Amino acid sequence: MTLTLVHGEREYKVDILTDGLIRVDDRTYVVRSERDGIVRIGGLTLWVAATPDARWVFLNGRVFELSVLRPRARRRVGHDSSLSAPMPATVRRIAVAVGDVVKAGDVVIVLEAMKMELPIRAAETGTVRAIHCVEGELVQPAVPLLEVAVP
Amino acid sequence: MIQRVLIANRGEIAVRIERACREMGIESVAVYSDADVNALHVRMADRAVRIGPAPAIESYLSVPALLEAARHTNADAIHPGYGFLSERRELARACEAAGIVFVGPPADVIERMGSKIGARELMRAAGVPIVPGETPRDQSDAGVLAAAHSIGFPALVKASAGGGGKGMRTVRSEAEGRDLVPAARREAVAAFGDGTLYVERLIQRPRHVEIQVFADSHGNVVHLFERECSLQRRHQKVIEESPSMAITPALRASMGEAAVAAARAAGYRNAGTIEFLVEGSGDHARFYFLEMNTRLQVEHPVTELVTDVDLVRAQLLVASGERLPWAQADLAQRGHAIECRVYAEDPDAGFLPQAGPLLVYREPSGPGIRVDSGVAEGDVVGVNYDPLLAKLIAFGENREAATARALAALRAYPILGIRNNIPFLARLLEHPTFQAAQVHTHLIDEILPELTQAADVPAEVFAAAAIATQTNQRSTPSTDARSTVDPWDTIERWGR
Repeated sequence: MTLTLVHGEREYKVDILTDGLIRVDDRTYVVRSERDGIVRIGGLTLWVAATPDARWVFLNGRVFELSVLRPRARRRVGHDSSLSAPMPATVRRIAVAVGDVVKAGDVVIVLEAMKMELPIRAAETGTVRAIHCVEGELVQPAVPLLEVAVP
Repeated sequence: MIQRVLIANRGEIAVRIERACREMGIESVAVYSDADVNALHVRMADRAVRIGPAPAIESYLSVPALLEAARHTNADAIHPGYGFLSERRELARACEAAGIVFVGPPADVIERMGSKIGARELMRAAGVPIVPGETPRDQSDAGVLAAAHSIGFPALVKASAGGGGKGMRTVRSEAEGRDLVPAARREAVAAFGDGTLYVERLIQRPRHVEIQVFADSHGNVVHLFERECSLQRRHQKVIEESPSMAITPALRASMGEAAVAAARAAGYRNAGTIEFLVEGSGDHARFYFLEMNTRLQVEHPVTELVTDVDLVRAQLLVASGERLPWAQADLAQRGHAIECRVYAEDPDAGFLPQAGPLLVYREPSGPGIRVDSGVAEGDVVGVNYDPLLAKLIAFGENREAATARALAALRAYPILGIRNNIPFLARLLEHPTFQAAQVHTHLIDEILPELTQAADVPAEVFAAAAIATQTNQRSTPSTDARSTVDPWDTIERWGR
């Protein structure tokens, strides 16, 4: 069985050969899974946790968040970049209007949560296509606030 | 002696106070909002009382709800912890009116030291050095900007009523100030309900060094040396240590004396902290009074480890009217302690607070390692309160040994399921500038790219991640649907 894991921009294929034998990049590792998410490989101890579409791995003070690739989730060229709140927050200020050209990194919305101002920045350069919130509104995470059409 | 203490707080500090109570044979009463029904501080306490819905303003910040909870449980004292109502005179005053012991200074002292202007005047009179600054009489944006101009750029504009970095902005020019002054005011109003702004000279590359003081009601005042708190992000401390490598014995002695003089001038009682900015190094370094924190500090454990005292125990003794358990001559610093604050936040995204489940949460242990935490594996971290999960405190015979222990502990402190700053802390302790003790308050900002750069993923990480999949497919209990049984859930408890 082959599994595709994604970290950042890169995809990695991992072959599960049999119980405890896993191949990554043409090397085979003997992986011993102990109780409570502890995994031992050679002299290393790792901790792992799984959600339906992600894997969390802790090794030596570093945390790696991997997503499990689903077959249809492919990137398109010429797409909409949608921005959402990272946490429940109040919209303090909307800094752009529909039709404005924004550069990646520009502050487009200022949210307030936990008594702190949180600037939301454009992830990619493009044109503001739609704004789905108003100033003063309480917004929830993962709900699009603003969409940027990326050429 | 106090018999039963209501702890008007949550998280790790509530758990810390509960421990001290247990050791002293004092009953602890936890309070909780609807967001904290299953929180660790509730599970650990002898009794627990609901005080309101999730928003802090209706629960942990509600003086009437806390007083009602204290009356209902016959608590004879309230410990405020830090944050929330700890430095608000209303709670101390309500306790005084209700005949309940407030574990902290008298209400009028909180009020006096809570006003930055009043505290500065008091310190000036007591001969304690202060940073040049003022609260402009003309509080319009233009008035605040004019004050910044006369003090000189760069200037620091901050909420007169506040702390914790909320409503604080560094203004480098008049042009910058036109945006930043209104922003500071908005945050000040949102955080403290008071938009009054204070302007002071920004001390460049300062160290933030504070002195722990303690006073009883019999006229005894001592200091317990310094804590170096220079490592901050967004004006919040991340790592604290004691001793400070920048403080010479002569400077330590004069700062200690100044802190005791400050506490005496304030008419102080119980545990408090005098914060100083230190400019330069060596015997000729200059220090300035910044503010007094009229409460127990988050970073109190580093002082406990190097002086071998229990500050919370001493707080409860002094609040009971007893004498301080130590005289100045009994107190000495030995070894070195480092505290790392473990936050549910994403250092790669501007330290944004995170919410989510603690799928894996395992605390390190070993010689010289202490973890004060407010969470356990399986808990879900919400967004209602401060994202501090725990504090890792390492002790060693010197700074190098303490750093090595802290690093080894961070490398064995897995927190999975929610983004957190463990990797960031490990990188910070690994950084040559930290290891050389060249810390100042802007260091994290200066080296941030090095602390947050993406790590290469070792192949073993993918292999381990694949195993997690296999385990799930075999329908053994997966880590995200952990079905641990909490014994407390099965016990019918009173007072809830």
